[in-house]
Amino acid sequence: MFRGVRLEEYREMLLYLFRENKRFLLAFIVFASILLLGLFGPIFYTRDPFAMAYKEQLPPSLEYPLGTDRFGRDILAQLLYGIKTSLYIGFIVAVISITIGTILGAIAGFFGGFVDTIIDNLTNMMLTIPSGLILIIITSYIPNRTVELLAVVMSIFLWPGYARGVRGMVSSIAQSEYVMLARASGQRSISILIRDVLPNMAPFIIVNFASFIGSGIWMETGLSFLGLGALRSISLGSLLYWAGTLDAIRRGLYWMFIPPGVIITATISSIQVIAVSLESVFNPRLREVGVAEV
Amino acid sequence: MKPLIKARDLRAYYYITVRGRERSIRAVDGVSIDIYEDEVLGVIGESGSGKSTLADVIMMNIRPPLRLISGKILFYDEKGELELSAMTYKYLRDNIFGKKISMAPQYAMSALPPAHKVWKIAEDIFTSHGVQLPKEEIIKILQEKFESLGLPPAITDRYPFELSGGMRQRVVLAMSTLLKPKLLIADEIIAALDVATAKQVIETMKLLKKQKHVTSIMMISHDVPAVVEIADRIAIMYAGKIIEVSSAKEIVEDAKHPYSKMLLESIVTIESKRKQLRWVPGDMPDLSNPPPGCRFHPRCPFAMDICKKEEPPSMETREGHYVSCWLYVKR
Amino acid sequence: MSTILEALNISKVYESGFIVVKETRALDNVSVKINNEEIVGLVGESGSGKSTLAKILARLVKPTEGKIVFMGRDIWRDLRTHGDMKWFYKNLNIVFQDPYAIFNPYHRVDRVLHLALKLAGIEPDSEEGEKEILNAVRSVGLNPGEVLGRYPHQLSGGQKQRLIIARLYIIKPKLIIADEPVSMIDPSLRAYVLKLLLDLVRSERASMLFITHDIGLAYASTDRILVMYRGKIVEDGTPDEVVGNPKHPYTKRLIESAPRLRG
Repeated sequence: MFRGVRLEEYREMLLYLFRENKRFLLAFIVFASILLLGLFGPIFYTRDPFAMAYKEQLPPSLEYPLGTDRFGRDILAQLLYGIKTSLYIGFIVAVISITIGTILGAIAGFFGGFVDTIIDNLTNMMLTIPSGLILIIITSYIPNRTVELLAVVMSIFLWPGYARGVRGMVSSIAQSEYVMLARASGQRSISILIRDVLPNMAPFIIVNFASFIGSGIWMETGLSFLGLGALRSISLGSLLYWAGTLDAIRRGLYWMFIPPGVIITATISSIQVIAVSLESVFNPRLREVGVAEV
Repeated sequence: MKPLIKARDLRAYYYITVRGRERSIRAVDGVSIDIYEDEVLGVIGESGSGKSTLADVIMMNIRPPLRLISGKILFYDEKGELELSAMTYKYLRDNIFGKKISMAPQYAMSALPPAHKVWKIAEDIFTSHGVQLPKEEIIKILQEKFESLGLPPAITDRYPFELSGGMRQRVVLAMSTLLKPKLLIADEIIAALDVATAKQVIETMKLLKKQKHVTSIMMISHDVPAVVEIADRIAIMYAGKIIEVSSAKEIVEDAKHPYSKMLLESIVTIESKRKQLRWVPGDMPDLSNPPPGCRFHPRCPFAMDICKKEEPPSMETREGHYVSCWLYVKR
Repeated sequence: MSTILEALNISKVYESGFIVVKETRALDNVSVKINNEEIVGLVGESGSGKSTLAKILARLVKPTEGKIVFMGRDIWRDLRTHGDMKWFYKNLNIVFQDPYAIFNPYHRVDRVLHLALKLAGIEPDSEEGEKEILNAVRSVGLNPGEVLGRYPHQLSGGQKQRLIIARLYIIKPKLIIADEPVSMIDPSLRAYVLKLLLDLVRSERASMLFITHDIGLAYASTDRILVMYRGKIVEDGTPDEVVGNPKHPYTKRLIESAPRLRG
């Protein structure tokens, strides 16, 4: 399926993307910059983000380029550290949700019948739960909130809707003639699922994966802002939380909420643009797009 | 026979860029044809012969990547002679499209706006051509027209999706001829229909002409029996050129060009001899790089030396019967 | 003359709706018998149920009622294991109508041929496998250099359909179920592509069920014609019988409205 030769073509297609698609280029630069900041920033800017000092709520200065928070912690240091945390959370949320959703949705859509009914009922049940509310309630009951635990809980609410979409797509792909041809070539069902169904779902999966990274970051930010995040660690959301406790917006302590807000928005939007642009890489039909130019 | 359209030496190419290089696809490459008043001209050929492009060109519906390289199209009506190929797009749009020359496309569904009822679509057509009529009048005109074509008048109040495929196609035909154009161009309109429905559509076209909703029809199709059913004259296209033109009867009974003969023999009907399947061997040439001389020579069992070098001229073998083949050129 | 496939009392009912359930009878008590080395035509218009029957006979859709016996085995009751499936599709295989839908757009067209090799028990990467593929591609009049290694969207409908037939040249089934194999091909190529199928059937001494809406094609290429109308078989006879002396009113209508060149 994804053998050596095709990888070369992906490379060619990616180059095309970089050259021609300006939006993708911009989003990629933005996201890459944020990622690099998160990964390498702390190497150059070495102040400990957790270190508290008696230099609270200072506006930006030469010593503290983005000022300090209510505990005297360097905001810039927290920002750099928080990027890593937030991306990590988003990534875990995406991995868990996509895995569960894809497997359950694919099985339901492909095999139908009894299995489908069970999974369908499960999904419906989960969808009727008011996720925001329950999320808040559940997390407020967890005494020891770690980042990983939060990610797992958030995933619980993301996978059902996605699984529905997977089920629908798989169900219709399963009726397509190339699946029938695979069956008429004596292929096993699992083999057909992986080789024929999944590639046709790749864009859908990838776009949702990216979207879930964004959702994960967004949900974490929301939870943190409510004080239900993993507040012992530092994330982009926790920055906003502590800013909120100081009523920073009304008091004009802009350095506490604008930087994290900007980074959060930039991260989520750039991820989405990248995902949508990547969709064209996976669809061979969209490759020769440059043909009908005048 | 009075001419309605005189097309001379038309050349229309598609310009496309493939992997950074510009190529020209010579879909219509030196076509001259007349369309007379009160006739149905059928244009048949394989996919890739250029017949659909010819339809667009005759109507002067030439948009990028298609370009009219050379040639003239003359249109004749009560006002005299009009050189269509020299007119601006604006002029054509305001005076010709839909009014004098109309086209009924293949996919009826894409031709009819889905969110409007049938009578409203008709109203839009009238208004866009500067004809203002009250709703009752439009409905009356439509219903009369539908009845005369054997369509139920009640469909004026329906949406396109409520109609069957065949009915939609017939409605498209009715709409295309609302303003009583001189020429209706039907481009592969029965291709997606089953036999019984296609028959109905052909009958509708015959009625359109008989009842003078339209003066002449140019029918493009790869379905030869259907064209033979309705056409007075038939032109056969191959690789961007018209290689033979004659009356429908003569084409069926006495086609001259080797391609025409092989094409007709490859048509299987219940009258064919059983267990004897025939076809035209080889492949259609690449229109971006056509063979020199006669374009059919690589597949022609009678190809002579001259066929490979020079393009044959068009010869009139019998009155009204023209063939472009070296076999028929007297030396 | 022995029977290779017998379908008895096949019905297929589709239900739709929740509270008021609507029943659509796609097939109504259809029985079909195909003998060895026989080419049977099934003629019907769209909506007659012929495609549904094709899929049911090819074990791709389960009938609501009825039994299908292929080479002595009941295809739903007696075939259970993966090995049984492979046996089935080695001996019965299909050609479908739409060359644009039958290839998975994410794979090169060669994959279809590789899967065929596997079904025939030949290793795709072996020398024998490569030879088989080249032979099959050439047998259907295609140039291997032009079509192998390509993606479906890079080939024309005619080329794709011929590759589907090349696949059968590799598998060499005893019964081919061809559902409108040439309807989406240019009319001038239809006879050629049909001949490719017929040649394969003759050289392998196989049978074929040729499903089409074109009675002319059925007349010219089959040994026996069945006419289908609204889920039922309404006529059964030799081509000359069906065309020359139709008994059922639908068949009569069909013959009358059939395209003719000189009529």
